[in-house]
Amino acid sequence: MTLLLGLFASGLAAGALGALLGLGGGIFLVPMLTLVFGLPVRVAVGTSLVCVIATSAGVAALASEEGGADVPLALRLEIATAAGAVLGGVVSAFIPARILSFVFAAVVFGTAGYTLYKAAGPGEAMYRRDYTPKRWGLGYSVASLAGMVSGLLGVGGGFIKVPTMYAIMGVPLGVATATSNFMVGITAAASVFVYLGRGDVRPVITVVTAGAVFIGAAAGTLLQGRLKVSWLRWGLVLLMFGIGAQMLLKGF
Amino acid sequence: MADGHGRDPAGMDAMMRRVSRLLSGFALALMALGLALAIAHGNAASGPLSLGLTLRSHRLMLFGVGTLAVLPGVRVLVAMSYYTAARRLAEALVALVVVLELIASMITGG
Repeated sequence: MTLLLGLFASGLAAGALGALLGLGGGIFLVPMLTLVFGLPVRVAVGTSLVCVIATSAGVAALASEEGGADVPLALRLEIATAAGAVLGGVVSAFIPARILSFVFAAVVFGTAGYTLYKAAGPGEAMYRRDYTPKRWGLGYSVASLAGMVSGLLGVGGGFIKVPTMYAIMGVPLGVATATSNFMVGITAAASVFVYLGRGDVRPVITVVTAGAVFIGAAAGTLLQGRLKVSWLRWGLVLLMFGIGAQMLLKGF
Repeated sequence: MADGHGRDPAGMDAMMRRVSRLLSGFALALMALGLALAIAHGNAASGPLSLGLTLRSHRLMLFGVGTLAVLPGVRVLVAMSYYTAARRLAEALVALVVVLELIASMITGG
């Protein structure tokens, strides 16, 4: 029962953070499930993938019309992400793990730095309707790189997608997080059946965690409209620096 | 394409929200029912009757997980149907590619 309560609490936190920051929450859940709860990595990843879909579903079910995803943008970038993921999966067999960690850290630090640079500008609205996504070439490139990082390192890549849309393509941060939530659901759905087929999704563990993630994501979505864009931006930058440092340490 | 946010075909956002609520509600109900069965019978783990109940509860939970897992694909299908109806064929084609990619992953994984 203690294990189930622990999983429930972790799921609530991961769902809320995932919804607020445009991530699936897998970046928090996989280390938590393996390091704290002692689950095998493949089971942790299988559980996490279901939870990423639960976050995406929780956001989609409760997002206001104003705070919805930019679906055409999400679908176009998702094609590049998927292609990158396939390429990353193939290339991963030939690249040493240490190099992968350094690549990961470099990508994350670079994106965090660019987001901070953009933050130096004037204040902005969380949601706007009058924007036009720009720098598609660069956006596609980084989206496919995000997919490649996903394929190489087994993470969702939402922490790259949000800054890419926000800082590079000029999409308002609120729309970028909602669009990323839409995208990570699709990415996770593309891999989860492999884990289901292999028996790596343990029903009780997954149901307790995913149920909590759904509730957390719904709460995060309701909270999002009340948060200032600067809080969310700082949350994202801090998260990226934390993940980058963790990967850098792993590389040494 | 450069469509700004908010220019989706009329009613698409609302339909996707409705589909998300319906499917995720159904999936969560199945998972909760399976979990309740598993907890109720989890401690009486001996004998064929308990084994049968455990299997049934696990099947219910996995069916709920499967329902949740198809939700992103269903949302893309909804988007594709709206784009097709609005004659926005480029976006409909992009959505079709994503749907095909998901179907391929289901076949490979299943």
